[in-house]
Amino acid sequence: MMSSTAAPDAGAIGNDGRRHGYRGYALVVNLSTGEYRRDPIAPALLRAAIGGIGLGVRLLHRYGAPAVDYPGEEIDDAERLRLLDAAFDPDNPLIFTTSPLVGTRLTTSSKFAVLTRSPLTGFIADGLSSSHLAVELKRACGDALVITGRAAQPTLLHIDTDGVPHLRPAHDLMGLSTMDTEAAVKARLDDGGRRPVRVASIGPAGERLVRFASIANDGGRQAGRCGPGAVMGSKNLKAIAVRGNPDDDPPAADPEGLRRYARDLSRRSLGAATAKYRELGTVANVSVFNRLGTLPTRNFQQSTFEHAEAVSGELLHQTRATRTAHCANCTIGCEKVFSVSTKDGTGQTDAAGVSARLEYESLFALGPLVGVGEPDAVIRAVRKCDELGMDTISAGGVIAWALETAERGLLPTLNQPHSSGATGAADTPLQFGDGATVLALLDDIGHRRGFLGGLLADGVRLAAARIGGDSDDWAMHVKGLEMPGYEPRSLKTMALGLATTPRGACHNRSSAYDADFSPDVNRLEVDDRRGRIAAASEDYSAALDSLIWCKFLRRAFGDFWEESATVYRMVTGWDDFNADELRQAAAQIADLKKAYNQRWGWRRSDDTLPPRTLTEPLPDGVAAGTALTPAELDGMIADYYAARGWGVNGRVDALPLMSF
Amino acid sequence: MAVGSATVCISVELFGTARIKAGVGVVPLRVDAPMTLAQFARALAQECPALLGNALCAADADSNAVTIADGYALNRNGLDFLPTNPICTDYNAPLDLRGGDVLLLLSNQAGG
Repeated sequence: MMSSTAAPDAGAIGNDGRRHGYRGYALVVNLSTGEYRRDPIAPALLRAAIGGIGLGVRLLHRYGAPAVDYPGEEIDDAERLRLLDAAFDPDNPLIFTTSPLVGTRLTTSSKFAVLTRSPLTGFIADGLSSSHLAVELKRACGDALVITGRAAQPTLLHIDTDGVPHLRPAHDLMGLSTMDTEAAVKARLDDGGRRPVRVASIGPAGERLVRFASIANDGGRQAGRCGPGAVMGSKNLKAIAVRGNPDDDPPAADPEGLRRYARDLSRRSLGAATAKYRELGTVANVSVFNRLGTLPTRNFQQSTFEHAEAVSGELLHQTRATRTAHCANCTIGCEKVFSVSTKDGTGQTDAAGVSARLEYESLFALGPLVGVGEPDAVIRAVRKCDELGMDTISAGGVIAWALETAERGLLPTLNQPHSSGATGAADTPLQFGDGATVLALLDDIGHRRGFLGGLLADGVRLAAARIGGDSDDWAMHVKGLEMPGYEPRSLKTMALGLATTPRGACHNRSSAYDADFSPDVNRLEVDDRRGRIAAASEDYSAALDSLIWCKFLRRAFGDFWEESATVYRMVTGWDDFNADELRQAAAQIADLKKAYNQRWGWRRSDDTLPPRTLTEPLPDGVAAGTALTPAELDGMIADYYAARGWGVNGRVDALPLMSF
Repeated sequence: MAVGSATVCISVELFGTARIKAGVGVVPLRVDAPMTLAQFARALAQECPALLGNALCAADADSNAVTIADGYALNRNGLDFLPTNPICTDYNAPLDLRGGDVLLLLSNQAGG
């Protein structure tokens, strides 16, 4: 590739005049022209942005397509679709950011963010993933890798220790699963004597622009939500292979202090605060959520699942062969890989020994949400999503909608054959609880095969718009993003978080559910504190996602803000950085995300919940009869806007530091 | 039995690691009501010693007092979360329990 500018000096950005924590630049690669450059990032901006999501949202503003001018208040369906499809334009950047903590060996710090404009929501897509790729990205690409343009042919972007990007043909990789793509790229590029390249890739779903396609890295970790894999596919970019030079790791300003802190934090990370994640993983949520009447079931028609015990984390651990997986530099090891084989080997159902990483969200979405209570079926479905490179939550959400729509007579109860001759899910009955149907539909969606495959690959909002009738009443999404496994009617603070989070129905950028699972609030009722709680929760997540710490570490901190500010000082050498500045940086992230969405047509009406959650009381469980009215939600949203200082229309007008 | 108290039957539902360690999902308890959180924790530990060192732990090194371990939460009847944080909770405050109540012992981490 050609470099259009000389690489800038990474810069002396610490108070002591040395470069600490950051590389000081972003590697910008244009796939259309084959050119690249290293754009400096001003120290003041790095400090204001922190890293991760905070840096990424600023880069998204900087490198994103020009703003769109909307004279009207509302956007019609045709314009909405045009805006969604514009996410596939070459000028929509795909941005990977690292953080000052990457490379420090602090537990859980090997993480990176992926940002782009979502083809599913039309708004910001800000995902996180983790492990070795984060470390290599920082070494080879600086604080960010910004990919623009569209390659003329299927391409592998290869960046090695010299930091020079190469565009290599990738025809031979097309059609491969994410796992096979990673293996093939490693086989091609590894020379045996050096450290391995680390790979981010898309599967068939990303190649076919499935709007909720994910980007996979390091053996199956996913930047899953909002369709970054589809954007990568639209750029003809099948994979990214990175191997940096360890000598390029920016040193910490206080290496001895950081070492002591790292040891102490690792010790705390093995304590009670993370026991659930270490011992059972997030699958432990199933039985708890079921008992509390907050386990969305059969497309949110129920909040309890009669087969919850069968797919509970407790039973899975007792009956399935299980192993624990760790991200790089992580002491927690939350990832539990479950096999279809039973623990004693007697129940093995196939020679291949299919296994999958199960998280609560994947388990909920491809289990209770679609009415499936058979563990093997869920494991196979999750594995299928990982192979195809699809977000499990959205995949389960859109299938749940299709199953209910078929039950209501708006879709044929048998999937229609299609002209390609491929059968896919043809002739399989559409009904809740059939794991084989779910598996077949996933395959059709991932390949955009057949009528249903093509329909559902666009996500539940567009599918409902296309089918019509009243089917958008049970299309469970916010801003186009399918709902995660937290029932908003029985988790009122979380309801507000889901309604207002910029990327749509998201449980990660807002952790408002924390309040609902505490004595601090009555989770079944609304009060005027929720706006402040949700905003504070969002800021807390923004700080975690920018530094970047794993959220599962959060209760291992004493005073999170003070502790994180101390760590930041030890890494960067900015000795006057304090907790208040970190809080301010976190709050600015919410402003920047909202401002970005405003550029792409955000309206007050986008901050809401699906009609079902605002019109139907919960029918079952301990929260039976609990409802959330539109007036209650609007009241909480008004409180949230006030807490943010956004005024009654929910708009942000003043932007924080953006000078690069 | 203390003066003015009555014996009631409650049950404790265990979730997550607590259930696996205990080997049961439900622990029936006969307890005095009213009782304190400390008394409840001790009664549960006596009935189900496998929970000690897991969901239950010693309150301090100098007594037999037991507390709900950091990392765990207590919920009454699937509805109310009870204060259990060892730092800011008065373990000797009365715990409002009635016969038939179900206490859920679960992780205080709801992240998924």
